[in-house]
Parts: sequence; structure tokens; C-alpha cells
Amino acid sequence: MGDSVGDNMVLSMKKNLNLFFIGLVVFIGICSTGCAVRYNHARVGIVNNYDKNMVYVGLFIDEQSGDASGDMIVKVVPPARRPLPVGERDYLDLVWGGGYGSVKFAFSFGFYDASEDSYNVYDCSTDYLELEEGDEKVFRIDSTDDYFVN
Amino acid sequence: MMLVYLFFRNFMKKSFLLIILFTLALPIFGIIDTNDYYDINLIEKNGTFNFESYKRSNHSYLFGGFDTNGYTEILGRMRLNIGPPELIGFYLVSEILFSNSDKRDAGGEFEKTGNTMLFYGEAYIGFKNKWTSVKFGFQNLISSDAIYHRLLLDDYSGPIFALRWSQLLSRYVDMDLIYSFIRPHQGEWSPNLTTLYKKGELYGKSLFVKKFNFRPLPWIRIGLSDSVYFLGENFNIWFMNPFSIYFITLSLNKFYDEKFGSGLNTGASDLKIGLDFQIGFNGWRVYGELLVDDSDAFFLMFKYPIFPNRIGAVLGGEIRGYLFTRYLKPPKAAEFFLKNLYINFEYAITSKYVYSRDHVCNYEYVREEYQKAYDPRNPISQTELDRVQRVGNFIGYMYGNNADSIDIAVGWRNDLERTKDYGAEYQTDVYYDSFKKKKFVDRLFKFQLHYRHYRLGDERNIVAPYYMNEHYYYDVDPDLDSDGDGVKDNDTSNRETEFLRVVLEEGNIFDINFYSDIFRITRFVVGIETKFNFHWRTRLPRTSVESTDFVFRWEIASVITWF
Repeated sequence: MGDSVGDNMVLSMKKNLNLFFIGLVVFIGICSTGCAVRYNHARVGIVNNYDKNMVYVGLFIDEQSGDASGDMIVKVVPPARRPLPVGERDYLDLVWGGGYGSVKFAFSFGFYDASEDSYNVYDCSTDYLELEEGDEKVFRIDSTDDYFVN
Repeated sequence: MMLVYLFFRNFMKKSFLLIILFTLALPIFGIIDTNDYYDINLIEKNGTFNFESYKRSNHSYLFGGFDTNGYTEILGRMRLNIGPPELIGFYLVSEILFSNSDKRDAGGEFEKTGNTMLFYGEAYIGFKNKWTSVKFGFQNLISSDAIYHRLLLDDYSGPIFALRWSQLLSRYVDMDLIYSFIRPHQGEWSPNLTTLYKKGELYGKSLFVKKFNFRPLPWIRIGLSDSVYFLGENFNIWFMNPFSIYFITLSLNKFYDEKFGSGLNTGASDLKIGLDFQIGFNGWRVYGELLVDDSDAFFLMFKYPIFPNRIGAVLGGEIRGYLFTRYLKPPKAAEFFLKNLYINFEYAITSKYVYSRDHVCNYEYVREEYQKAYDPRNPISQTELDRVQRVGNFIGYMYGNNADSIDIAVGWRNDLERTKDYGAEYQTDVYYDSFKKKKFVDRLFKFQLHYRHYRLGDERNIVAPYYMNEHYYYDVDPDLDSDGDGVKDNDTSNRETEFLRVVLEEGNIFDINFYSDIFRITRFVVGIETKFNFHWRTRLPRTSVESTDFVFRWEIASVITWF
């Protein structure tokens, strides 16, 4: 590497050094504008009131989803733990874009099948519930087709 | 200016006493890095500070660490770099550690040793000259010249078993071939491994990388890489061919269909294409890397993409003080201080779904993975997911997908002018470096302040096939017609490429690093090193329920180095 090439480059770079630092500050500024963003939050719980262990997932339709069947986006939220033992509860935190109003949420769940020694999380599901910022709802699952929300 | 001059003149006169004072006043310091899961043997990345840690090829140290979460650790490490003079060019690198930490459950045979565990680090044999370099064994591999983060291959997660061949083709082009097998960390030296991979479920993954670096000028490097990540640990003959293009190889797969059970797994493959660059010399440089995960013919043919792009990017730079002191000509003492000062900056970002897998491929781009086949009817829990996606477990970017980070560091080391840039050591760099004068420093003193801000987004599930969020029922009902047009196999995603649309966690890390030689006996140097690490982690940031944890960690080590 020839030093003369390096010297010339460095000399010309010195002139642009302020530009570099200004660019750095602007870049950090742009990044920090993200700090102004706020998110909505809701918490949903699930209680296993049936007599068998249960697996579940959350089905979350937020503001990214369209309404038509081909535009629908259903986000699958992993369970906090699996399986959920009899009589116990879990919580899921849902976060979506601030200022977007309400979103929809349902649980899909299934109970332990001793004959096949397996689970199917898509055996049953609740209806979609509308959630708004700050909501805390608990789904109490009493059986495969009986639940209530409070 | 006069005051500054007087200060530094005074400093130089009493520098030895100051160093002694520092070592007494500041408790001493470590080189091992653990993440929030107390993984061992991660490779610390502290910018220029840590590169060629002590400028001496062999070292050993005794380390102690604790944090405000109750973590304590006693650790010993020895690294040897042996180059027999009778075999010019050949060398052997070996690294071994023992550790005892109450945050790590040893189990198995290590119960008998009082929870003290043994680990390997790098362990390889190599041959090098200015035109070619070959390494075989467990080695730290990186995919670009970045300081903190790389997207395809990152050394943070520890050594990978590989054959690496770097070859100078001309002064304008060099070639880098990596054939590697991916296994968990060089971890427990114990039969416990059988509990990680049960019999009958034993399988591994391989990552083959071909890379060509082009240099229109010696100080400009543009690298293009073509890599394939596939199921099985084998030297797949189609993928080993350095002249093949993996996309074409996979397209030919139907013609080269393997016999069932032969284990070549040409079909269960994941393509990644990379572009990276570095520009700079004499104390400044800028660099970057771009990764396209699962490049698909639909993109090449400019057809409507059926899935979102899975991409990541890194951009960074470094400036060193001697770039300026050569022209500013400050007083001698001030020059000594200023020329050894450095600052670096780096930004890395990955989109949602990078490093996740297709539904036909039962593996993830991580070291320790979810070992069972994914069962959509009994999906993975968040707890299991957190284990797979822990920081540093990814083979690429340490934070995984849908994440970003900013790093800034300011530091000083007295041998800065002779400290190479942290880089992947491509052969053309080795070639040009061979013309430079070598000078070894007698004493070493290093100090660095480093700050990182990182963010982790939503839907970072790399275990579930990434289409499941559009067709979550697909695995259970392959006949699902989600767009309702009566045709069941034309469903496409209406997701778009996303970067951190929603942030679920963010963190700030600030650390202070310090090292100093203390005294020397013949070829052995005794030094001391310490690190103060402050980590603020905010869960569900900018929501009504956000909460922040703070952890302070202190590390200290006594170090012996020798040539």
C-alpha cells in the first residue's frame, strides 16, 4: 500500500470529518425518534378447569391483518408453557401498534388424548374477543366446548 | 493546549506509578463472556480492545466474576499456540477451560467434581504462508471484517468444527472455502451429550461457504459468498465442489436424487447469499455486510415473491488517533496519548424470519436447537423457545432475527498502531500484511468504554416454520385453502418484509474494560484485567406495563502471557 495514496486520502478526509460526525449525530437522532413510538398492550389469561392436561396457542389478529379471507393474517402466539396442568393458568402479553384501536384474539386448545398419547392444539377454539389498550381478560376453559371470559 | 501538554508530560513521567495505582485501585479483569443464560465459552467482542488480546501468542488466566443476580464463577483458561521451528508454516492452537459457577447445572459426571466442568475452546492444526492458509479443527469463524456483529457466521457462539482454506488467486482476488459441521458449543466433556441428543435422534448440520473477495485496489475489498446449510454431517460431494453455485446444485437435485438413507440430504438445504465490503487504511475504515437468507428463484426471476424477504445488514466504521497525529503534530506526550486513541461504531439489523426454517427442513440456524421434529399440534412453548433463541446461540447475528443493535466504543491501547483491524483474515490481507514491518511491544496497557443499545422484535419464533403465521392450520390440514379461491396450492403470504415493527424487549449495556501488564520474568508477563458491566433490560418497552431490570457484573482475572 503506497503511503502517498494514503496521505492524499487522509488529507481529503480531514475536510469531511465534520460531515462524518454530523452524519453520526443525525443517524443517532433518526434512531432515537423510535423512542417516541408507543405500543398498545393487553393481557389474556387461560385457566384449565377441565380434568385433563391441555395445550394451547393464542390466535392474534392485529392491525396488520386485512378483513377479506385472502388478506387475513393470524399470528400464532406460543404458549407460556406446555402442557398446562389441570387447575392452573397462564398469561400471554399482546402488543400492537399504538393508536390502532382494538384487535381480536382467540385461544385454540386441545386436551390430552390418552388413546393416542398425544395432543392436538387445534381440536377446539374460543370465539374471537375484541381487545383494547389495557384490557386484561381471562378465558376459563371448562370443557371442550364450554368456556367463559371475565 | 499548554495545560494538556503539561498534563501528559507529567503523565509520562509517572506512568509506571499510575499503572500500579490503577491496578490496585481498580479490581482486576476478565476475558470470558457469558450471556443471560450463562453460556460458557462465548467469544467476547470488545472491539479493538480484545483483538489479539495480549499481543503474545500464549496465555492463561484465573478468572472470577459475579453479578447482582447472584451469579458467581471461578474459571481457568489456557490457550497455546505452538509453531515448531522445524516445521515452518505449521502450527497448533489449543484451548482448554475449567469453570465452576452456581448458575450452571453441571450434572452427570461433573457432580463428582463438585460442579467444576471442563470445556474446550479452539483446537485446530493449521498451515500458513503469505499465499495460502489451511485450518482444520474447532475454530472461531466470522463472515466479514466487522468488529461486533456478523450475519452469516459469528464467533460469539464459540468454535465450530471446520476445514477452512484461504487462497490468494492473484493480488486482486482471493478465495475462502469453509466446510463446517455445526454442533452445540464445545461444551461438556461428559456423557451428558447423550441427553442432548437421544439415540435415534442423533443428527447434525453442516454449513459450507464459498467466498470470493475482489480488490480493485489493495485497500478496497468486496466479498461475495454463496453458502448452504443442510441437514447431516457429511462431505456432500455436490456441495464440496468449489466451482458449483449452490442454487444450481439444488436445482439439479431432482436429477441427482439420493438413495434413501444415504444421508447426503441435498434436498434438506437452506441457501444464503452474502455481500460484504471493507474500505480503508492507515487508521480509518468502513465496512458492511448484507445477508439474503433462503434466496429463491422467484427473486432471481423478478417474479412476485411468495414470501417476505429475509435479510440482514451491518454497517460500521473505525477511526484511530494516529490518522490525525501524523498531520497535527501535537507535543510528544500528547501525541502518544492521541495516536493510540480509537473510536468505533457499528449498526446491525435483521428482518423478521431470518434464520428460521422452511416447513420441510427440521432445523434452525442455531448451535443448540429444538431437538425434536416440530409438531404443529403440540407447539413449542415460550420457555423452550427462549432456550433455543437465547442471545449468542445463533450461528449468525447474536440477537437472531427481527432485532437490531448499535455499538459505540472509545478506547486506548499503547500498541494501537501495530494492532491489526479485527477481521476475518482473508488471504489478500495476509499477503499485504506480510510486507509491513513487525514490531512487538514490551508493555501493554488497554482501556475501553463501550456502549450497546439493542432491540428485539415480535414473532421471533425460528422453530415454527415461518409460513405458519399465514397458514397456521396448514400442517394439520394441508388442503387448507386460506384465500378461498378454490385452488388449494396457490396460497401466498400477504406478509411483507419487516424490521422491528413492534419491539418486545430492548436493552442498554455499558461496560468499562481495563488491562495492564504488571511485571515480566524472562518471557513470561503477568498482567491484570477487569471489566465492569452495567446492563439495563426493558421488557414490553413503551407500553403501559413496561418494566426494567438492572444487572451489574464485575469480572476480574490475573493473566500470564508468553511468546
